[in-house]
Amino acid sequence: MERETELALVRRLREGDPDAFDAVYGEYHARLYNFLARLSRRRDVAEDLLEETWLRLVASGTRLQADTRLGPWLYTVARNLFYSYNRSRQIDDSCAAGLIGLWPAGTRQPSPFEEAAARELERHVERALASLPARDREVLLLVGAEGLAPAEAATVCGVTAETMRQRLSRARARLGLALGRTTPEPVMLAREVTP
Amino acid sequence: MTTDDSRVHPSMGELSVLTVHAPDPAHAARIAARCHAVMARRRRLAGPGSAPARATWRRSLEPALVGGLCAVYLFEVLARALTLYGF
Repeated sequence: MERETELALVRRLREGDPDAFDAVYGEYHARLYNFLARLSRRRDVAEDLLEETWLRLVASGTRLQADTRLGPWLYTVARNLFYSYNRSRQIDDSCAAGLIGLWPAGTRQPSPFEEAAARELERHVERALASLPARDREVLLLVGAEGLAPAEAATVCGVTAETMRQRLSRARARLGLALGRTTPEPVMLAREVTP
Repeated sequence: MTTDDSRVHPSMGELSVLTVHAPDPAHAARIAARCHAVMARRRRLAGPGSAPARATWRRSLEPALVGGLCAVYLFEVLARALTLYGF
């Protein structure tokens, strides 16, 4: 989303414009859902948290700062809701490593072979991602899947840019291991944690 | 490492195969409707004739009304006192 467009939407949200809400909703609803579903690993939880995220936006819309970045703001709320939910339910992060059956069948592919290969690869990545701790998943999802800049992801997670860089580096190494790489590319990792 | 390096890392590239799944349309519509209802309620509360508007009207009119009644009362007391003393 263009920054100008975003600022205009924020201004209209502050005025309580429902059309502005619809525009933001259209832009972020599916993305937030995917983020929450992969973070929580449960569709029902993701749907509940998603609803609460949007209600928070509506409740805080008129009090938004004029220069608010909507994406990071929404991801911050969604993430905080997830951790609040986690604390209240005491979910064991080490369980539910398998993610088979979380998603409905994928979209149609050009050929049965390509469809099977794509699904297999995606399932493999989903499974690897789901096996990671929530702290790793969130940084990978924010930067790798949602396309946030590491600095924005740092804001969402409430950490410094340097901390985010280290968390990202560790998370990528763990994802690499979970994907079946025998070594987590040590040279690159050593270089990455050096400013 | 630059900011952009983190996004071109092999592991990050593999995350791009993840499908963006569409949320349940019925649930999405329910959320949107609920949010619209909340926004409409807030607009109603902030509009003319609403509780905050009534409070503002009362805040401005009440002191004037009370002040006026006090002035009438004091004027009457003064007028009666002057009458008693033969002025």
